[in-house]
Amino acid sequence: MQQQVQQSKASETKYAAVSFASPLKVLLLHLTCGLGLVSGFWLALNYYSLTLVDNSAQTLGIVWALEAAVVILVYSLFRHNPDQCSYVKAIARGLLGLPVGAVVNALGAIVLGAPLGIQHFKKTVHWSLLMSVFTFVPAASVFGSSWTDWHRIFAHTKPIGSTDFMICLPAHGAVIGAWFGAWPMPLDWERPWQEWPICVTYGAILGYLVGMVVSFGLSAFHNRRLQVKRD
Amino acid sequence: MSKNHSLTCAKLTLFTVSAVMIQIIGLFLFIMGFFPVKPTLSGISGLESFYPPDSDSTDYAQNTSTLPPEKLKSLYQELSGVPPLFDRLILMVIDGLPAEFVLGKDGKPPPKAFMEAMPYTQSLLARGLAIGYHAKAAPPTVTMPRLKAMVSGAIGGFLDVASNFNTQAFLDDNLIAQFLKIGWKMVMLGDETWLKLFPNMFSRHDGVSSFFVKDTIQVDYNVSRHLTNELSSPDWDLLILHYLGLDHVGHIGGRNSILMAPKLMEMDEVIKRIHSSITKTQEIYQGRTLLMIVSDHGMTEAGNHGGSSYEETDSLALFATEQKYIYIVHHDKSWKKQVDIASTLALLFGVPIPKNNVGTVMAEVFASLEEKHKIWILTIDMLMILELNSWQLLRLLQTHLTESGCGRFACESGSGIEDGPEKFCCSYLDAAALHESWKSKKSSRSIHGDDYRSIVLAYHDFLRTTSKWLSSRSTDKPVGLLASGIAAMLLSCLGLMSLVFLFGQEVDFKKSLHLSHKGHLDEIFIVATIFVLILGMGSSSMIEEEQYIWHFMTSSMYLILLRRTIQTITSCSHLAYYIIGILSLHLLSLVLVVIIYCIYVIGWFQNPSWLLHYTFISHVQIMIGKAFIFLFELDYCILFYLLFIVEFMATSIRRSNQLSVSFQVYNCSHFVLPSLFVYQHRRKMGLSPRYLSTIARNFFTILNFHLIFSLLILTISFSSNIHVTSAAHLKFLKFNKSSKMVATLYHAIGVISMLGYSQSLNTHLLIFIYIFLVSNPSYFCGTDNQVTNFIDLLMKLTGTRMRRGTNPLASYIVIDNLISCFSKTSILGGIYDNRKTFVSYIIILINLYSMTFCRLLNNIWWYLAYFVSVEILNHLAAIYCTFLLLNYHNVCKMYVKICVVCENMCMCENVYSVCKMCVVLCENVCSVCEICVVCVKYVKICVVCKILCVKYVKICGV
Repeated sequence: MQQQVQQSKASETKYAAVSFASPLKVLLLHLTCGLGLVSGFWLALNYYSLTLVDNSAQTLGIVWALEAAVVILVYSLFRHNPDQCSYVKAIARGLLGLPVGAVVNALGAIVLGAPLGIQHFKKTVHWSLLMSVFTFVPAASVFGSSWTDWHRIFAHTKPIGSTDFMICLPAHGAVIGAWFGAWPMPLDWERPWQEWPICVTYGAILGYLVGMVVSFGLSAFHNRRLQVKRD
Repeated sequence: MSKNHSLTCAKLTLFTVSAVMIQIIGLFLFIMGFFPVKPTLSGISGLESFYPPDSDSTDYAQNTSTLPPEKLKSLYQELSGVPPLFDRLILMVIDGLPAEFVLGKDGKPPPKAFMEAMPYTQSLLARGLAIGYHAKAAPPTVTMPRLKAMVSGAIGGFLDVASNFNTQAFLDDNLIAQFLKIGWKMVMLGDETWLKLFPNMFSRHDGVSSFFVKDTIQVDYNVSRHLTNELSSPDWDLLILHYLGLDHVGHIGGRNSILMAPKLMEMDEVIKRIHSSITKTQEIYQGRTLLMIVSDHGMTEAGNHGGSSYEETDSLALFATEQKYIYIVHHDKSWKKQVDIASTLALLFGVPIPKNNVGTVMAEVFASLEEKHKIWILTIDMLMILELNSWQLLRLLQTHLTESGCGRFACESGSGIEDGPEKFCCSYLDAAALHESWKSKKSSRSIHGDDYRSIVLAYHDFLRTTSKWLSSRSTDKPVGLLASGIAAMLLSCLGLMSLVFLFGQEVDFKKSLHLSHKGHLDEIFIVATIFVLILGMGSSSMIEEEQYIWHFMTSSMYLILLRRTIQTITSCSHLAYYIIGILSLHLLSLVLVVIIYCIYVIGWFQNPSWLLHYTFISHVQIMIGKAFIFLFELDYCILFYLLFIVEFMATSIRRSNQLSVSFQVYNCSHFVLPSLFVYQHRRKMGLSPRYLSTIARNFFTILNFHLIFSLLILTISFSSNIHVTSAAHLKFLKFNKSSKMVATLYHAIGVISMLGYSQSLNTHLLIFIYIFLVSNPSYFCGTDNQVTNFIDLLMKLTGTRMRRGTNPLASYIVIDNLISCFSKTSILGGIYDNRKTFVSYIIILINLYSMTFCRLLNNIWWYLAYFVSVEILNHLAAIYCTFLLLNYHNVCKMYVKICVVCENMCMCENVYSVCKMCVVLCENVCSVCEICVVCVKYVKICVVCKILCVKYVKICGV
């Protein structure tokens, strides 16, 4: 326990530059992202009358486009070193991170057995773009190309501070959720939602939402502990 | 440590032998429970079937056997009151045709391409000359059981050991036998399964074999070439045409294969020929001919069958005549059971319904026949038909009743009798009473009155509920036997477990466990995976898709390892950065190679036709021609041995032993490869089944022999390597090494055996698989501790799982059937098969023993005695499991033949889904064993050694 406290102290000093967003801000950010997601589905259903089960590629396309816009705009506000890095630059980083993250996610999905045929190509592309919005884009907007930060968040899963929480937890939540979401796929239940990538998307979104809730909870808790310590 | 806990040699032997004994007993009980013998009625229905069941009918039974056929026929007509509506039957079986292709699904018409491919059949349906039903087939949806169901109306169990011991002839009461009794002349053209089921019953026959699964043309031509002669000849009463081509088309290219429409067109042409000849013969001979088009089962999207999905069970029953049917039955109402065909045909042709029939008559077929029969049927016959069917079902029902006869029950309506024979009895009595009262008022009876309708309803109600209940009866299991079997197996596992714990106390696992840093994601993941897989054994859908789950887990594991490798990249000081960086880049590339390999193999198996055209290697192979494929294979073999030797040398045991084992493997290859090449050559030249079987037998005999021999060398050499006084930890490490060796050896042999059975186009995959197996995570983890070793084993295990892509038992049965299917003695094949299923035990035990060999070194004879006794016990277990599973082998045989010829394992899937139950049963042994494995992690190696199998590879075209 003591060691941990020491460690956290050390890390606090080490990452003094890391911006600590207040819990309220974190809540607002997550609410905006969640709303973006919901409105994406709403838009698809009401304006284009598309559902994920029937037209997964198009629905995913609308959802990721909307969510990407929201995520990039919102997360860029929390960029590191705001003095050296302008808001526009952060947005550009986010936009760049989108295709790169999509490639990584698509590769991961294929390794795990996503279908490779041409007829699934569109779905895979849209799905991996959505996953990229969940995982890569926030980190790209906030951290840019800082290897240590990326390494800390994605390889070690050691988030420090509320900004890290709000990047790390939803991203991990989405990935783990998608992983669990793939479980029903091979089973012989003959349901339409067992198709690639419908249940995986459901899993990812569920995991993402859970990740956001946990992220808010942790940052609130973290904030209180900081205040107690200061007192 | 107290002295009580230490093991003496005698104790050890006693313990394990008794544990294995209990296991065998448990397995025996389990199998007995899982495949219970159902009460069936023996004998053949005769005249008594035209009387109510409770009347005394002993005198008729004697008469029937002595009566001449013509007399019997007229007697049947006289008694039944239902004159045969037709004189001749043409039964056209189109193997694997889903009813959806002809009738559509859920009221929608079939796909346009199929509609257009069968214009004549569609016009028959549209003009009302034919009436078609979806006939739901019961699983297993493979040809032979389905044919049995169609002709006998019974749903057989998976094993009918009691009635059908090691013979394929169908001895139960069935239509073919009934027709033979009334003196019909029968002609059979098509699948030779009919000839096996009904030997010496056909006056003429031309059997084609489903041996050449790639052949979709010749197999049907061999049937159709006789059509002109047969259709014009008046001497037969039953003509069976069994077309296999459509099933073959499905197996090659799936449901939507480009060959499907032409094949349907061909079938339509045949139907047209037959139907127009019916109309002609009608005029000439004045005989009425019924054309019945049925399919034995459907097919899945991929063209496979065997399971119980909608696509597979959706088979066709289509009655076509030259007369018009009055009304077209709506599609939603046209769901029937396949077993209904037997009773319907029996009543249409005026023969007794087979005794074990559980189907109900398709009343609409009778009701909807036109004019000259119409008035007739609707008045008397409809009820008569229903009554006859009810009598027959009631007789069958009575075998399930505790008291004899139906009348003795007090049937108060609405008194809440549970669903069971008593209730069905009551509903029968109600219907019969209504019928009697209707019969008595002669003058006022009409077919349009309410009372008439209520009789029909009452009969239908009885038939429907009884048929449903009787069908469900053929699949229940006695719980007591199953539970006691499982309990015994658990007990023996506990015994083995405690044994392992006793070892553990001596070797002190805890210490060695603490060598590793705890709580890594990958370790947690592995334990979780094992639990998930064990739990997955409980649900059939998890087992069915097991290969996907294994692949998913393996790939996840690699991704976790990739993450871990990335973790190491910068987590070190600047000074060592470059060295470690290069090292971890090396590791990273290894992981990436493995992952790319995963993608490659997955792509290959997911979409073979796609990759076949675009993969570089296959492209090259197609381009340069077949002669070079041979060279390719040779290269693969050499490369494989080089790799094997390199890996083998890397493991550190004494050099001389290494050499001896390598020599074994070399030797093995020396015997195997030439025969393989000859085999390949012969295959190109043309087939000689006997020759193939000899090669297959030699191949596996040699493999098995060398395997056992190498294992012995390994264990003995290992033991001689260790000092009695060496520290416990050292022993432990040595144990790890020896188990690793065993695993390596098994993998090597597994790959060799795959060389023998994979298509030449897939040979390159094998070498990839081997690389995949070699680049195991011990490279990543580096340290030689227990957890690393365990990951290693798991990886190898999953690797093999992946390359097999299906359950172990299915592959076992396939491979071993290769041996047994051509030799007459399927018992031997079965023993071999089961022996290999039990091989995991031998391996666990060998490992346990190699572990404590240091203590047994003083007394090697104890070890040998132990080894021999376990071997003998395994053989014993194998023998009686064989007797029980024998029938099941028969079911699989034809598929296995196809496997041999195609040399790809595309049919494994079918065999597998047929034997889903057997898989559950045999996996059970291992999964129970795995529970104890989880407690003592590394005994998991047993499962590694279960594997000696082949991957099924689906290759389309070429």
